Amino acid sequence: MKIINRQSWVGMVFLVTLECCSFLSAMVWPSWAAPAEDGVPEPPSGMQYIVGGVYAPLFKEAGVEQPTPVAPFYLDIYPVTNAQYAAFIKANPRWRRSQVSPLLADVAYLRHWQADTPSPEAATAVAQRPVTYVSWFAAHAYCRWQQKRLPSTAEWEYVALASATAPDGSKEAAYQTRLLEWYALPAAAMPPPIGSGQKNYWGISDLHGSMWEWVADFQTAFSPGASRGDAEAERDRFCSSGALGVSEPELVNYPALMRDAYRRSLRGTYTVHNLGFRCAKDLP
Amino acid sequence: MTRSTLSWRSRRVVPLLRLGLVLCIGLVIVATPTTAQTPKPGGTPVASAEVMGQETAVLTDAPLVPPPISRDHPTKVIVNVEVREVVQRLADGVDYTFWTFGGRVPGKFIRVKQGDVVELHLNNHPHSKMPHNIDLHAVTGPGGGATSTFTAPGHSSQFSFTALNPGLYVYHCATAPVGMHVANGMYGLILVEPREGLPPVDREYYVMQSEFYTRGRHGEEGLQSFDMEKAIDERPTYVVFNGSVNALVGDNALKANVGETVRLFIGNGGPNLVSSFHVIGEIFDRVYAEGGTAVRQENVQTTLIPAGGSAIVEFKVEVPGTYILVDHSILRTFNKGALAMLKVDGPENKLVYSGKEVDETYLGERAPEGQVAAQRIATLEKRVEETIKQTPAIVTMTKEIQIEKGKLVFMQTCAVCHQTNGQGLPQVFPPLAGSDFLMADKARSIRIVLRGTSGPITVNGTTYDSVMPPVVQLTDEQVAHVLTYVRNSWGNTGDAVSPDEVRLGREDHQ
Amino acid sequence: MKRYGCLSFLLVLVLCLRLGAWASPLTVTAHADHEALPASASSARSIYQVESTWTTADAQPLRLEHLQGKVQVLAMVYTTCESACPIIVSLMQRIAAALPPELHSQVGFVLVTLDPVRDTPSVLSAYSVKMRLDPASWSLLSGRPADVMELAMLLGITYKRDRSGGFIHTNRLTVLNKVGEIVYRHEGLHQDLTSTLEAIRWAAQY
Repeated sequence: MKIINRQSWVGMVFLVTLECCSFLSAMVWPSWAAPAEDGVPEPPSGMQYIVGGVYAPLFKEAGVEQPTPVAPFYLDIYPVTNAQYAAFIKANPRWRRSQVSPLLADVAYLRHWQADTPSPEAATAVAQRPVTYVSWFAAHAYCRWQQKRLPSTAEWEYVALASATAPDGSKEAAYQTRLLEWYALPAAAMPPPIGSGQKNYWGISDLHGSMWEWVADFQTAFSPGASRGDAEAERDRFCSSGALGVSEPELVNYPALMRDAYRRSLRGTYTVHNLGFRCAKDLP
Repeated sequence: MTRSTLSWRSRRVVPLLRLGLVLCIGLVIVATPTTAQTPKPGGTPVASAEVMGQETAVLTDAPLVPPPISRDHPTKVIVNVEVREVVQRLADGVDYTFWTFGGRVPGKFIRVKQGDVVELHLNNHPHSKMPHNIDLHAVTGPGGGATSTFTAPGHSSQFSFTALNPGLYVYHCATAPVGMHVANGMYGLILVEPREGLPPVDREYYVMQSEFYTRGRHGEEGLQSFDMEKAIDERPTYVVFNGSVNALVGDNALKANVGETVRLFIGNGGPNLVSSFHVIGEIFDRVYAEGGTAVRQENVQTTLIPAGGSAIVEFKVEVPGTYILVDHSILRTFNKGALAMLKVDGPENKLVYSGKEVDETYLGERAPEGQVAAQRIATLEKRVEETIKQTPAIVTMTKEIQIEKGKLVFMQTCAVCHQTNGQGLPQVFPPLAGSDFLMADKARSIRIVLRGTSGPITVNGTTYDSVMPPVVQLTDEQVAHVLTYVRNSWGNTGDAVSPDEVRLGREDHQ
Repeated sequence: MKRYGCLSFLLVLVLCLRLGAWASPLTVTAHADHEALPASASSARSIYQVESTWTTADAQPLRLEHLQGKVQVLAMVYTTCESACPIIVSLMQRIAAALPPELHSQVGFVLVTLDPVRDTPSVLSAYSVKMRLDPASWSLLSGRPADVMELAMLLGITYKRDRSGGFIHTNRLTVLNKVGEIVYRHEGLHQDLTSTLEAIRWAAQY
């Protein structure tokens, strides 16, 4: 009587093959075989991983949770450029300057292009500069096209709080002074090309000193109240000095205060010469 | 046509038609609304009955003022204010990024009339970096307009208000952080003329004081940036009239002619300092304190202008020359730039102001000629003294004066013990009246007053053994007066005691 | 008879003028934001032009353009809301009840949840049953958070999380015409539905 008959040979060969395949695939795709050491997947190209944290909003408001937790997410290293936005327009003609709905952008949309697509000279001049004169709806649509989204105010401010060397640069006097000095300068004709500034602690560039940026929930920067005509909402809309109700009045972060004031002046359709955006993305 | 010839139809229909007509006319009268009820979205509010017509406001840059309003009824006034962020001169060699209403600091002067409905358009230039709004102190309503005019760059807001109160009002930006927006130059004045207008004058000018806080020192050249810390600590680097050092100096000085009445609309944009406004060489004939509508005071040298407030002053210029406008917290004028000029031309008036009449050297006391004068004075004074002594009448009068003065001293100081009638207290304090002890030795009595005495003494045959303390609080003159008094009272008669004798007695250590 | 002819003419003239005066306030309020457009005109002002896809209470995908063809009364609420949202829904139910029969098939009601994480399609379905909302005219939609934000922005509705995990939000009913343009807004929670009904009636004509 044979000990190893045909069936058992087949069985063994099958098992061995299975084992080899498993081993080989572990070699080729190690992440599948075992999770990565730190559990963080690689960020998509052009983005950085931002670890979670907590953001303390500027104003104490009754009924709103404070401080706001920020879950880990990815953020674009650079703002979206004119070149990138041009690609979006090509794929989505309804967002061309001549086609866009007045519900989604005001009359100054892409004014600096002067046409549906910029001339070659204009294109070269603006290609690597952040795109401006785009509305919130346009920024939102672009990010969606990229399977991304706009960052929330908490996410943006959390990342922007960092200096070059620390996650919280609000106590670095020299750094804060430099930020404040940007507001002393008149607005430039165009924001500088991306990468002009230093990358901050998170590896994110051009958050300061370039232009203002859209965030997903800029409209919730103030308490909505029962209706738009509510006096409370109106009070917060124009606001007063930085000391009123600020979470840490003795350490007022003036640049953050001015960004907050700027956001309150915006509507979704607004396009402004110094207002652009970058995208964020949830972890998989 | 008689009734019988009318058809039966007409007879029924006609009354019905009549009834119908009456009802319809009645309905029309009852149901027609008196004024338009439904406001159009985005349109202006319902105006009051007396507001007629519409005009666009003429806005001027400082120091000029729009002309007085000649219409006699309120109207709708359209005001277009543009906000621009501009780099301009703050001082020689010093530039600053000003945030402005209308491209200059201070902002445009707005002139309306009480009762006007102002439709204000705030246009934020597309190249601005910041959002801005406007709070006009002339507005009665939330935020003074700030809540309704918060505007992003490249956009425009509109709101309307009725100028209920007359007066001179500040307007300024109220966007967070407000201190920074104001400190960067966002203020101006709006004048609401009273219904009857202001009294006519020859010249009207617009002057606004304010401060600037820069990172660099006063005069440090280059583009300076705003220093928040200095602003919070209220340590301005510049205090200026009309937005820059020497804005109203030299060729840019205010001008007037002799005999004219000048009215200054003065504002204080702050953000921090109160102004002590003064025009060197002039007095304010009338002051509308704090920019109100009543003349609160006349003939004022220096008037206070609160931060975020104003004042109106009027004065007639009588004499030609250059008059300096200052903040009389005077180091601000000499060290920080708070200086402006009013140049007055015309004929001189020597009676009001003569100019310099005499110019000679003044040597003071230490000069040789001065010493000679001093000697002459001493000689003269001595001659006076001798004359007084030699002339009995003068001497007597002097003695009488001494007695009167001495009486006062006696009543306050000595009568406590020696009694007002000089009788003293038996067995305790000796009498002065008719006292042989007192009158026997003048020098001794001086010594006793100055140094006191103790141990037994015999006065008029009675022995007293008490202590009299020295009367230390009296001057030499007072001692002389009181002794002259006691030596010439209650039956005593004696000569006067002079202060020199008292002085000798003090020095005498017998 | 000539006399009576003139009188009749005057009568008719007066009646016309009165009718004209009565009619104009309606046109002004109903023309809240724009001029009248026939239903077939371009939808540059339609909010249905957004490209988001939503999920209905019976777990079907829906793009907003599918709401075309009916006047829609839309509100943004969430099911765990205790105070304001029940009032909003009840206002919409009152509108439904107040509509004349011929308009029932021409008017729809849309609830979009501000809290898609908790208000899944099955939760919305249960809510619909609880509130007795007729599926023939009511649509309850759940979507991606970013899409919810985009729709709220278009409608001018602001919302924000509060401490209890719910939301502070603008209370508003938006009336959309048959091509999805905003023709009227009922602000706040007040109970006077006269103008809102008027706007719906007017929008249903086109």
